[in-house]
Order: sequence, then C-alpha cells, then structure tokens
Amino acid sequence: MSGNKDDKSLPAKLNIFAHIYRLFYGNKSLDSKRKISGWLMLLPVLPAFLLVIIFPAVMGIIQSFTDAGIAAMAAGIGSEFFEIVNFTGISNYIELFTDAEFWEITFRTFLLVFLAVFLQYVSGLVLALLLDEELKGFRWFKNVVMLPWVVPVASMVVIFNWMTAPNYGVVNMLLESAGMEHLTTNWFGSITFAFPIIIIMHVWRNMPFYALTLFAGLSAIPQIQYEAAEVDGASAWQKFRHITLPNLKYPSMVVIVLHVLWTFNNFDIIYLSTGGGPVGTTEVLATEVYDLAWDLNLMGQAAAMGVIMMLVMMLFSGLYMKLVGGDV
Amino acid sequence: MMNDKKDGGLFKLGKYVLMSLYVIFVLAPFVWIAYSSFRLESNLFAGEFFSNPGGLTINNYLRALDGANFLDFFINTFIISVITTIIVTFLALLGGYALSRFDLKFKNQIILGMLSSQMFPHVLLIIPFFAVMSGFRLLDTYFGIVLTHIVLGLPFGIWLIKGYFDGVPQSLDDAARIDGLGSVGILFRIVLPVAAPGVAVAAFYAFMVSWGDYLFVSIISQSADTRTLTIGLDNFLGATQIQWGPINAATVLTVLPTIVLFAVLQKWIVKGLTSGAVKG
Repeated sequence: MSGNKDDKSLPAKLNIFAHIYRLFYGNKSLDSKRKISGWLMLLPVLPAFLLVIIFPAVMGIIQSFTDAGIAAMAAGIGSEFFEIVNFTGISNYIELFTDAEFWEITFRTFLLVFLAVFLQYVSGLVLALLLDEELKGFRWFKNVVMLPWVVPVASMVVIFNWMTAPNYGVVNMLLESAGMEHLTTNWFGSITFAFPIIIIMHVWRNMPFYALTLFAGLSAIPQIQYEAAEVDGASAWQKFRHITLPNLKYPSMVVIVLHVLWTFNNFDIIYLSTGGGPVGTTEVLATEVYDLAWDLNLMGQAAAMGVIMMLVMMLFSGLYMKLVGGDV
Repeated sequence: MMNDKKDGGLFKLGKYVLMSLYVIFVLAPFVWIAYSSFRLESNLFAGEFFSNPGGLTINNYLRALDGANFLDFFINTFIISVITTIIVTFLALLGGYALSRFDLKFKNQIILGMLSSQMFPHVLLIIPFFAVMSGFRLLDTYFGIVLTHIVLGLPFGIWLIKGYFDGVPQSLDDAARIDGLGSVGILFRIVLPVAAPGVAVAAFYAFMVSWGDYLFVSIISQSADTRTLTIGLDNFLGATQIQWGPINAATVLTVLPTIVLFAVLQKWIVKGLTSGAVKG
C-alpha cells in the first residue's frame, strides 16, 4: 500500500486520514490488515442478519407469550409495546395444543410436504435421466425447463385458476372433448380436488429445479464407472442402482432438504389460490399463522404457531446435518 | 450417456413419449395463458379451443393497462425490484468476497446463520417486521418494501456469490496484490470479471424475490401508492365478476419481465443454481 509512504511526508497530527489509517491498521501484519478489510466489507451485511435472524426470532418468541394484537404491533418496537400487551404465560401454546384443528392443520402440512417433495423428486429424477439421454429434438428443453420456477407465484395461481375454471377452463374442455363430461368440476372449489391441485402446482413449479440439479449430478459421474460395470456385465438396472443412485446421494439430499424447508414454510401458493378453503381443506400452518395474525387479530397465538414451525424446521435441519454431516 | 445402443426401438419411443409429456406439462400453461390473452373475450367463454381467424385481438392488453391502476402497480413493482436488485448485488458482492477470501473469526457461524435464515417461516418474520416498519414510520413506503426485500434476498445472494468466488483461484488475488492492488481493487477488477456468472445469478434471484413477493408487500403496503403487481393480480382474481380477458393479459405482462431476464441470463442461472448442490 502506498499509504505508508504518504503519511511520512506529512505532519502526522494534521493528517487525519493517516490517523484513522493507523487506528485500523496500526503496525499490524499484512494478514490482519486484510482481516480488517474483510470485516469492513461484511459490515453493511451484518445489520441485515441481525434484522432477519436474531431480532425476529427474539421478538417472535416474546410475542408468543403475550396477548398482542395488531394495535400492539403498530405501536412499534419501543417500550409502548410492553405497555399495551399482557404477558399470558404459555396459554397461547396450551390453546394450540388442545385445539383439534391445530393438529389437523399440522398433519395436512406434513402430508403436503411429503407428497409434494416425493412427487417432485421422482418426476425430477426421471426428467434428469431423460435430459441426460440428450434425445434428438429435445436438447433445447433444458434451457427453458426452469421457467415455472422464475414466474411469480401470483401469476402461476392465475394461470392455474384460468385453466381449471368451471365452465370454460381448458381442463374441463379437454375432459368434455374426450367424452368424460361427468368428470368436469370446479377444481379449486372442490373439497376433493383443491388439495391435489395445490400439490400439482408445487410439482410444476419446483420439479425443474430437482431435474437440473440431478442432471448436473449425473453429468459429474465419471463415465469410467459405467464402462467398468459394463465389462462386468451389469444390467441397465444394476448400473442405475449401484452407480447412478449412489453418486446422486449428495445432490439429492441438498434439493430435498431445501424443498422440505420451502414447502413447509410456503405461504403464497395456498393463500393466493384457495385461501385455505374450501371449508379449510387446504389450510396449512403458514396460511393459518397469517389468518390468525392479520384477520383474527391474534398476533400472540400466531407468533406461537410460527415459533412451533420454526422449531420443527430447526429440528429437521439439525437431524439432517447429523445424518449427512458425518459422511459428506 | 448410459449406453443405449442395446435399447429396443420401443424403449426408445417410450423415452420420446415421456419427454413430450414433460414438455407439455411444463410449457402448456404458458402457451395457454399467452394464447388466451390474445383471444376475444367472447371466444374465451365459448368452450372451443380455436375460434375463427379473426378472433385474436390486443384489446385485453389495452383494457388491462387502462383499468384498475395496473400501470401504476407495474411501475411500483419495477422501481422496487430494480433498487432491491442493485443494492443486494452490491452488498452480496462485498459480503461474499469477504467470506470467501478472508479468514475471519465467526466466519462459519455467519455462513451457518445465513443458511439457517432459510429456515424461518416468512409468516413469522412478517409480524416483527410490521412492528419495525411501523416504529420507523416506513409502512406504505417504497423504502420500507425495498428494505424488506433486501433482507430477504441477501443471505442467499451472499451464499451464491461466496460459492462462486470460492471457485476463483486465490493465486489471481495474490498476483494482483503483488501488483499493488488493494482488496477492493482486487474484488472489482480481478475477481468480479471472472465470477460474473455467479453475480448475475445472485442479481436475478434478488430480482425474482422482489418482483414476485406477495406476503411482505401485502402487509407493508397500505395504499395504491406502493401496491405491486402480485397484489394487483390477487385483487383481480378476487373480484366477484372475474374479467378473464384483462387478467390473462395482466398475467402475461407480469410474467414477461422475469422471462426476458431469465432468457438473457439463462445459461449462467442454470449453472449457478445447481453448482452448489453438486460440489459435494
């Protein structure tokens, strides 16, 4: 750095920059100078983390022990908040745990996560294998396959609503022209079909992500492993079972964990398409937290439910790290 | 890749059929909404796939742009997303570089913290966020929404860029340092050009998060002044008499910017998003 030379040529007292420079860098080694630049670069980011991780966690936990409503939240984060709310101990949690509906919604959330992630993984893996075949005429597909993932959820919901509309939606039109008129229905308004359509939307949106991740994983498998297996006379299934699948273990874990978190926490797919209906048949924890907080003005109870969601996901991630941490 | 010389013709045909089904599943919704957005509204409800050749029109687009503040929402969304993208990209560059190149104390904790922020349910985050925004009088302002979107997009952005920088050899830095460049100079003149694809991905992700966000805007925005497209679409859909013509056009207009941006950055995005999972 040329700074050292400059400050020798000036009276040190007058040179405030040299002073600051020395404050930071002093006589330290090159290595620690670099460390300080590192921290300076990270500096603007740290408040964001404070805001996104520590603060909401602490605030959410505090709220979950109170009877806070929207008025208390609008009062801000100062002492006013504590003047308005009453601490009610663990009553929010007791209320949730003794409510049959809470358990029903929790079960449905787990069911959604399991079915969506399972279907996404299987369909994504099959697509990855197909992409890997480099079928003639379909090579362009991997360049556009991510499209469902990049469009806003709100527009996806409009598109699916339009396609499944009761009288003039294309799904019903197709059924009619195939002579299956008795199957046409108001899909999103149906107790039977609303939940499956939500799963289909999850699959449509996220399956490409699995496919491309697994495809990248496939491309990384050394060809020589397959050649060796061929010499040993392995069948296609044996090659898949003993070479392809084990090599995909790490990318599979990563996509599955990411999507368990995303699906479990996802709010807008369900909220914008069915709002949890019809008659609560698609309500999940995320939409219920939103309704409790902003429609029913039960911020405390909503926070308690949010904290439970957070704990479940932390438990899941911890378990995952324990399982994977050892052998990757 | 897998040797398929021995495959029977029937097996091969099966693969093509299956692939075609995937193509239809993924792309048909886009084709259908684009097609519908150009059809005369009277034809939309006729229950026919094709109508007479004169049945296409841009009327739906004109009506969408004309009514219900759509243009205002579009401009709001655009301003918010662009500012968010610029700030997130800049901060993620600095943060990603710091975490990739410097041996900082608590470095692993910071990285772990960033990843664990993906675990927080956003519906829980929004409750304290509302309190903060209300406390600082930022409700119903661009600034409040931009701030929220920055916080949402930053952790993943830093993680992506850090991963990319990790792939740029340290020897490049060292050579530049000997030539007298400081850390910031090295970042912007040496490492950035090499890691540009990763940066493009992080920028795209930030844009996508901001452009598509419904949850946070629905709470922080209180009037049409700050409302965005996703809220607008939801309002359209909630109307008692749904105007399918204009809604379809509005949806296409909402989707279009993300698709255009994706098309431009497509090669990098696919590589950038999936590389983290393959590294092992």
